[in-house]
Amino acid sequence: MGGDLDSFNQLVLRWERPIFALAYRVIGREEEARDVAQETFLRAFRALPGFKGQAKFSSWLYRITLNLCRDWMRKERRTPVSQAPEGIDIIELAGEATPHETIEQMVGRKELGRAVSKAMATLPEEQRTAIILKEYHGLTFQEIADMLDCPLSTVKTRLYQGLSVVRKQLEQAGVSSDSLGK
Amino acid sequence: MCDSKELIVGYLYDDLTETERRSFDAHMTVCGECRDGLIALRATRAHLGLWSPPVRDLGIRVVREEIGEPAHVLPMRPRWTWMPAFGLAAAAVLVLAAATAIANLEVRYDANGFAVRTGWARSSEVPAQVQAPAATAVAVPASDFARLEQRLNELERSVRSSASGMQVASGPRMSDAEIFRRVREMVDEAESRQQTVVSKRLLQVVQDFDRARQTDLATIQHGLGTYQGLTNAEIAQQRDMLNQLYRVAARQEK
Repeated sequence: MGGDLDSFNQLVLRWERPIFALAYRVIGREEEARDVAQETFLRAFRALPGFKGQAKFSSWLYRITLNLCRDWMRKERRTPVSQAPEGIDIIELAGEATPHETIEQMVGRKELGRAVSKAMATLPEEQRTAIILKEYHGLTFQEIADMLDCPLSTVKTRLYQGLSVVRKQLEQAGVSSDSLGK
Repeated sequence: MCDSKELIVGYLYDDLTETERRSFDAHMTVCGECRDGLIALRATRAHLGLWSPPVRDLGIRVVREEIGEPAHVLPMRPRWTWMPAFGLAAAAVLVLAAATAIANLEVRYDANGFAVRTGWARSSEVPAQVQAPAATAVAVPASDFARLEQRLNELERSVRSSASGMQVASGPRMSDAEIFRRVREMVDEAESRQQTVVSKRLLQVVQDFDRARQTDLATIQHGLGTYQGLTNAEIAQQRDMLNQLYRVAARQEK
């Protein structure tokens, strides 16, 4: 059993960041996302004997995470928030800086990220989830359809609608396609 | 309006067959709405890439809880146990003594013979001597009064003599000018003492401040050194994690 635990913790190490990122983007709160990630792995470990490998391990984890996020939102009766600090931490920003990027560019990139976060928070849950799974986790349309228990065409429609809303929100926030080049 | 949402999304995520792709390419040459829509959604996708979750050290580990041993149940002590004979005898003596005290038992053997009495009602037989001391205590002899009066007179005399001594010690009255001079001297002395105290206090504050500054500087330098050490340790730890991830990923690919 100790060996199982060690092996499982290897998987935790591999998947904790994607799972946390998924939870964070779905519910928009860092601390709660961390709790959801922890609970995901706990549930996965308990349910491990029942996992027969029909789905990919990652898809199985994602499904558990999404269920927990849904439970959390239902319980808290909350919509996702765009959790962004008031100011910009230059030191933290410097750590994330890419080579050949000026401070102005870094700040601009961070602010664009905030605008995207706010725009995503306005989406209905199913559209937001579809975009997150596709855009940030690279799932196929079919995998998303299986995970969300909906037809393939529905997934594509949700993506289209969600992306269109985000585009409009960004335009309203003064973000244009030129912003990326700045 | 052109109803090709699914196609646009498929094209956007490169999820069309070759035939579908060519067909949609041809469609976009004549449909500006789809063409502009696709360009706009591509830009939106690029913007989405800027939203990243906070980078924190999660350190999630699943651990097994230690299950404690069930609590031992200690056997209860029996309510009645065997006691040795001397214990029983001692208990009997105690009970008898308590009963005797409560009953106020009196055993007398005198010229009238042997008598045993119990109870508290014996006021008629209380001897008269018990009340006698109260009566004699009131009768104070006159000689005691005389001694007391003499002592009081002595005390009064001594108090009067000490009061006159104090007047002598105060001496003759000073003139007003002399009083002013003395007061001025006293004020000057007090001011001088005060200035000395303030100077010493200021010196002490300056020294304390300097000492605190040096301590703070040492703490900051120490903290910077620790931070530098931690940073190096974190870099090493992250390198190890990356190597571990590569190994895990390589195993999964196999």
